[in-house]
Amino acid sequence: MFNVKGSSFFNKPLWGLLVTIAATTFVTAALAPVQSEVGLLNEGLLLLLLTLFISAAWGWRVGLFAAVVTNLTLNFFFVEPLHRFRVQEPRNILALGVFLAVSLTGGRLLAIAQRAAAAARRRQAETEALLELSRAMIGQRDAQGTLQTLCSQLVDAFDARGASVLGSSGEDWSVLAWAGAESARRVPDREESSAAERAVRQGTPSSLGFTDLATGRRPRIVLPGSFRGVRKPVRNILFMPLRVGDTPLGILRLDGPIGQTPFREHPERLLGAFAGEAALALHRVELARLAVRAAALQQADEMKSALMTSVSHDLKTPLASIKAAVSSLLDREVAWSPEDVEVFLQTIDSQTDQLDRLISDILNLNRIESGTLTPERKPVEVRHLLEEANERALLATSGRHVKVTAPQLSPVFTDELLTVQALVNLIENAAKYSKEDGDIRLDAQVLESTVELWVEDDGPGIAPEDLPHVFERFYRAGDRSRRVKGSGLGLAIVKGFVDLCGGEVRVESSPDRTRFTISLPIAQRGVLTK
Amino acid sequence: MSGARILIVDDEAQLRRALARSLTGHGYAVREAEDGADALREFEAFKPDVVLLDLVLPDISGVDVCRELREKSQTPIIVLSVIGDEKAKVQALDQGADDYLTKPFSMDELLARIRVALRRGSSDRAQQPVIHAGELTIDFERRLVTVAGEEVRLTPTEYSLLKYLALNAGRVLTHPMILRAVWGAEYVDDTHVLRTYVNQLRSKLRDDPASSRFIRTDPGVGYRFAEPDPIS
Repeated sequence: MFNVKGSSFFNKPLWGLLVTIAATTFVTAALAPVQSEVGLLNEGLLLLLLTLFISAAWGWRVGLFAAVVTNLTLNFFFVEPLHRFRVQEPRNILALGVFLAVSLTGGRLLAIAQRAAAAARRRQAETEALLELSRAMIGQRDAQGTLQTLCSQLVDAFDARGASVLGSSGEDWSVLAWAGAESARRVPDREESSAAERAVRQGTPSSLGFTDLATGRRPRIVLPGSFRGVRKPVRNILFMPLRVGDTPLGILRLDGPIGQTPFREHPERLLGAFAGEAALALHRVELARLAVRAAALQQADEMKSALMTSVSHDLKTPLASIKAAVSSLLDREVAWSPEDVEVFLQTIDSQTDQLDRLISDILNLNRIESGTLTPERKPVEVRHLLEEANERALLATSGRHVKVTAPQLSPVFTDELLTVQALVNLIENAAKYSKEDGDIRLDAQVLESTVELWVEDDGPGIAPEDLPHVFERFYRAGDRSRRVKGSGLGLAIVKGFVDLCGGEVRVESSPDRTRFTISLPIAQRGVLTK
Repeated sequence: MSGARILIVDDEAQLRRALARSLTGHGYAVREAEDGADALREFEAFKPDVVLLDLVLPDISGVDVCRELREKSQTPIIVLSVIGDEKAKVQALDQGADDYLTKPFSMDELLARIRVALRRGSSDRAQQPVIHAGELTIDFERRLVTVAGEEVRLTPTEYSLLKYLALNAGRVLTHPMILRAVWGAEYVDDTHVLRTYVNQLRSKLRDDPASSRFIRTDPGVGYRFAEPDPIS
């Protein structure tokens, strides 16, 4: 499976054999002078104790060796006739036989108990590692964090060189997260890719180097283009597929050699559990992401249908007037007077304009929101912006006294068309909400690195509770009263345009005055294009 | 019925103006109101024969205006609604509005609805002994229903349902209105019962729901019995 780094030196059986011989020699040497005082029974028990100790330390095979050695020693040094293997008394033959049987059985039982204890320790370690993993994963909300945690937990649990999670995008694998040695972040080469794909395809672990986890054999890798005679460096990598049900979510790559951990013998068990945890965590993250997305989509959907309702209402209203006027004109039953015809035609004319404005507003807003509007920013004279806007809003401001008082200021860096349109919307808005013969003032001033342009009216002002919402779509101040006509989009468009121009818009209002301010950056000298 | 008085309640000045011109041209006397308070005032002063009522008004809702008008009189009310106002529309009908028109509508449609409303306002159908609607004849005195001369056997409930629909011919009736009138107030929510009976009635009258001759479905609102033949 994996070659193991730093495997315990004293655990090797050779040491067991040496210790057996040395200890037996020592015990024999110590007991020989006082043989008659100690007695055969105690000597036998002492050697039996030694055998059991060796069985416990080096397993039952070395234990068997120890049993034979101690038995022979007992026979040779302590059973009459001494220093011969022949046994004089038949009961001593029986005693030696019993001694051998007890030491073998005892050694064997000890070894079994020890193996069970080792397995229990391993399971405990596995459980602890998994618990640690779960604990670490619980805190993770995003896929990246989850995978990162998984990798570092893997490196810790296996004392491995490195661990990484790979995701496939079409043909290629990419490293989603990694931990351990820097080499863990490498992009898989061809050999690795094919092993990874095999693991994904079969849904079982696959490895490069030593033995294959699935088959227990060492895989033979023949790569096209590899030269005969050139020995490939031995690789030591394990791939574990991450999946939930039949859905592959990625692959886990563990770089050997792994350390002396309780999982060294059967890494696939813990790896499988890790992979399961990781896959579930990934799945959870994915589901959470989908849920968030679904919620966002639902919200967008609700907003869209609210928009649709509002838009359809606003579109149908002028249509109703037009339809009433047109179907009246088409009605041959009535001989309409020239004044009647005039009224119908005027209705059609004004309502078509209203529809046109509304549709333009909706389209503009759509362009802002879909990001298809690209501003062309360049230095523009402030006074020019205000005068241009004033001129274009003349129709809407008829009857109002509009005053442009902006002094000569540094040019601002903005998109001229969008800024003028934003100002026009503000002026029309001021005209809509102000008195028939009210004042509308357009002015500007420099504030630090920006120029502030404002449109101020002496209308009734905006209620404090409405102020935070005036730039929202379809929000009309004091909406219950629909006396003031409009799409409810004008100020939303102002905000959209000003944002695009890199500026800011804000509103202040008191009961007899409302001021909308657009602040735009001053053009740097020498900056002529964006 | 020329010379009848019509009150237009709508906050949209352009629409009021066009409607007023057109209706005046058709010989009606017209007054306009731009909000609910104005409407209630004009109603008292003008005593209209028909009210055209927009549901979205600047001050109070059209549904409330409808309720207040119903408390005072039985003057027919035609609701003018826009797509999206469905809920308000059904509420207004439940509050006693007689009919509705969805904006935009042609003057022909409006004039036809006004004529139906005026007819209902002027005549009391309950006193007519027999109603004819195409091949269907309902003789209230003899409790006899025939289609193309053949007698149709109806259960008492089916007969009550048909009678209620026929007496309100041309007018849209919401599910709760029909259930209240035929089954009683405690049944107003049992729309499925009504649907079952309407289907039975249609099949007995050999009426095809897809191109109904007698009982038409107003989706999401209720049913409307076909315009009866003019009283001969």
